[in-house]
Amino acid sequence: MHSIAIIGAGMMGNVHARAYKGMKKPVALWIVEYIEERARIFSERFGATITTLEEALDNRDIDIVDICTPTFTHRDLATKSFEAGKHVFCEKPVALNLADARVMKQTAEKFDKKFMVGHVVRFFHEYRRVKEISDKGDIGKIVMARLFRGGSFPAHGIDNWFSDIERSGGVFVDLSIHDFDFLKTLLGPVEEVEARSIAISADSSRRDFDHGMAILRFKSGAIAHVEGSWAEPPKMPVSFGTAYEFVGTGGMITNSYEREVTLRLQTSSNQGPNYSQENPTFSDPYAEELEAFVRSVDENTDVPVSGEDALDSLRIALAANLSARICRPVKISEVV
Amino acid sequence: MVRIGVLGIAHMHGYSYIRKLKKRNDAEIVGLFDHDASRSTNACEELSIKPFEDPASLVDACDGIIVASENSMHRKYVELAAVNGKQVLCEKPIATNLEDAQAIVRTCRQNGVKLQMAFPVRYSASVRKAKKIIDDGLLGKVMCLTCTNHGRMPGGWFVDPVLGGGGAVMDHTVHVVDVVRWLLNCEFTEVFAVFDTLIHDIPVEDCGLEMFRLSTGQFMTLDCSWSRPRSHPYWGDVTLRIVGTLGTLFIDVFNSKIEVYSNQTGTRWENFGDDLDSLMIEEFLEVTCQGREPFTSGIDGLKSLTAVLAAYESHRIGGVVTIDPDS
Repeated sequence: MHSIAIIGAGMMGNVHARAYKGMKKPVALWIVEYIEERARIFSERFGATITTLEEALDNRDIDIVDICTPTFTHRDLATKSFEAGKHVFCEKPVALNLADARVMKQTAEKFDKKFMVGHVVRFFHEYRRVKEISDKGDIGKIVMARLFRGGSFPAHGIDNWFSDIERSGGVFVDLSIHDFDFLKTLLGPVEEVEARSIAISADSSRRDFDHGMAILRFKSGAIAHVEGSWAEPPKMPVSFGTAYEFVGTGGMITNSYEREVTLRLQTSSNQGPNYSQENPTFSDPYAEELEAFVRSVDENTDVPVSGEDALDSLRIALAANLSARICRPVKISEVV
Repeated sequence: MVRIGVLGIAHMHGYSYIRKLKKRNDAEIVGLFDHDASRSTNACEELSIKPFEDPASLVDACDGIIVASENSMHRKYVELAAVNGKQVLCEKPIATNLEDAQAIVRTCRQNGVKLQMAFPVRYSASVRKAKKIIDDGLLGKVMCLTCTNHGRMPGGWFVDPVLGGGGAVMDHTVHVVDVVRWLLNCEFTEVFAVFDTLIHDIPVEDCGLEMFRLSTGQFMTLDCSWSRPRSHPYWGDVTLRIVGTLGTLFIDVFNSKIEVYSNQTGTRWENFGDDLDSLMIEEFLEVTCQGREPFTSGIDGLKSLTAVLAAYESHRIGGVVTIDPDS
């Protein structure tokens, strides 16, 4: 049985714990969380044992560390875990810069431990289908793509870390990186990025932008438009969504959260009007992602999303950030 | 390892059930019997399963039986499995007449067999969530429902009045009736139905509209038509619009879709949501192992069929028909 220490009892820590608890093979969970109240609630909810980072790293029963903390903490937590002989699953984005990501990757190699990064969109069925259909050649060769991912600003971040580009990397590095990563699996390496971003929030404490648009040119000649957004107002009935179109030489595939709704509820009560739209499922892409990681550990096979993959995806996001800052197209090779 | 046999593969859903079973490591498909030798050969080759020439010997070798034959033959095969004490998953509708349906339920009960009906729609996460929304009172009092179960015209034995037992009304009424019986914990008490053969040159109806009254007081309409053209990008739909005193709920069960436009193979929608057949098969294996009551039972099959038969009666007399609550 695997013993897994989740670091961080925030939103992703909860998502991962729920996925682990749903797995066919039982796992033992530990939680490392410096806010006592959060640790206690997490522990009660998932039957996880509360521990500290030092104890977890010293604990020889624990073989996997799952990092669900804010991005700026990833590098140190990962390298310490590798040095303590643990396999590491790390939430995306892998790190804030390429140097950190390289250190993480190299430390994993040095200690011969599995290292996977949570580019979960590869496990979402509506994206997996696109890859399958593309591989079959049913719409020819994909030459153009347009992807949207966005919603309200992630105000759940502890100490409002998402609002600080120095700590979150901004909307390209934190959010659109999902689409950059998926596009790479579909269209290969990116050549050049032209991006712009805007800040719509009047909140002066925010040092980040809320909405970004990027035009990507791939080495294959394909082009793509990626839009990432935290621009929706808070407390909206529909707080998040994704949409895409992939154009091939022999066809097209499209999907949008606007139309894939299977359940739409409008009610009115003393609390006022209420609207919700959703697409509930029993399957969980996070569970499929973490199962794939655990399987790689069990069978000593390559992880589906490697440190190298994550590093490449981060590089595209950093190119977008740079382009948005200097307002000119940036070659991927300029980001080192 | 649960041993499963298949009696009849006339219904294309049988292919889907077998494929789901083959993906599992806790079930084994012993083989298939179909009275049509060429159909049996084709299916066994395509699915790589063993053909049986004698249904009784197949039943002997199994723990559970899936019946996916022509509707009119369900009784023969379900009873064969039931008298041998084997659990049964029966394709819908349960039968084409009341006598057969009652006999199926009776024989299963007498032999301690927990008959499961193939009503996959009820296994959808959206439908389960809708149940909770209604039970939690978010809609207030439910006042009426408008529903659809559209499809393409299936052809083959489906349009044979004897083998299929009818057309679109027989094929597409029971899913929604079953879901609504469960959602509202009600029975169907009255029906007025209009239907006709309006699109295709076939001996059974292809378009139908039904107005039901429920024991809980609501009226409900259902469009059960085979009205999706061949060129339609998806097989059809199951939708329910539920109007309550505090709000509305719209359910579009199969709307987890991506749209694929291929110059090579045409336009189609692909469903990326949960596979409802898999969820239903999982339930069947559990029922077979544990002998517990299935989520969708033979009684549910019988009750939904009585609504269908009343719809045909309504068409015959041109008026509202009361649905017998005791059948």
